[in-house]
Amino acid sequence: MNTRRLRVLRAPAVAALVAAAAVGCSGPGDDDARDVVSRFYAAVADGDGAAACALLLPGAADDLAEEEQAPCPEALLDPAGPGGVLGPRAADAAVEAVHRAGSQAQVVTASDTVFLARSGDTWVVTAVGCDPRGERPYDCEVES
Amino acid sequence: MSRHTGRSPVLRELRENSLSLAFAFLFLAVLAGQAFVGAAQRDSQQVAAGLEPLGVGDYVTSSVFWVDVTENWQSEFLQFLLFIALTVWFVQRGSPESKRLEAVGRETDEEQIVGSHARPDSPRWARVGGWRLRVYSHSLTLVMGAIFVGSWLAQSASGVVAYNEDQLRDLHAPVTWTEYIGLPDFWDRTLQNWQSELLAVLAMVVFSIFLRERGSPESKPVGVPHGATAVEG
Repeated sequence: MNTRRLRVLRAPAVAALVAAAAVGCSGPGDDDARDVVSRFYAAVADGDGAAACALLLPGAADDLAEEEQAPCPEALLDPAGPGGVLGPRAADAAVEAVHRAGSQAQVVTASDTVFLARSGDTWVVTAVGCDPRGERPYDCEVES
Repeated sequence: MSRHTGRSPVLRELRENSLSLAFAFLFLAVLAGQAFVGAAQRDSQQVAAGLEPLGVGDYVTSSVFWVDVTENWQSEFLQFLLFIALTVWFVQRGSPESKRLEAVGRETDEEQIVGSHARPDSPRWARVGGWRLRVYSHSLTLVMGAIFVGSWLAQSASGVVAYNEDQLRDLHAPVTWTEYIGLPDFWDRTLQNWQSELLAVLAMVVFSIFLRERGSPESKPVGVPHGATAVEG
């Protein structure tokens, strides 16, 4: 605790701080998240449920199938179910903003808010068809 | 030391810097350990959520890793900063961590060996006087303080990203940096580290009055009375 000990602590700490400052980002970025959402809504607009489901977190696709008692591609496009919300939103799915934080991202389109998570080298959709509820979590049409 | 004079210059150099080298080695080894166990924990959470693991390389560049690192750094440097500064004015009877009870304050130029009292082998800025002497007289606190502030800022910068990662995972909206530094998460990370550092200093100051470690300069010599202040082994 005397000054001798204090001095020896400085050099490695400064080096470590420099290393911290040099830290950059890795993995897929904002454009990749934006691309996944664009492809998801393009698939919904095209009626290609299989392509849209392939972009979902497997757990979210499974939950949807279980809830709707139908395979994911069918359930996702069902006008009486999620398709009734996602279909109209697919018509106006231009991406307006991407908020990325580490392994999670939120993509805001003209008509929707979509949540994504990093999985290996890509993004998967964890929740879509989401509306804000103030202090409470977003209310999402499809989520895991 | 005389029994080591026959050793090679390299060995002597290593020996005479062994304290710095030991701490540098331990620091790097522990930091690497933190990186590997942290990555393992993060990847197990990924797998549990049905996601592919991201690996150690991704983890050591993540804000989750750096907020944990920097929240500890800032508190350590704050601890030493406070210790250096407060021991100018505050004393503790019987503690080897304290200066002499009658030496409170900045002390005279003669005691500090500066200005006209400087010796030929004194550091140059201690000899020249003027602004350089004023800066050099506080250089330790200036550097420790700068590292503390830098680490704390780094904690806030990485902390807001780590916090937003949890926010997005839980389907909440992200927050800005200015919002984050007013949130309990930032202050919880900060204060939980500060309290432990302050307790450690308190324990060191008080325990070293009564307890000893033979041969350590952080302890009084074993036979020195409890009431002896500013005596190091």
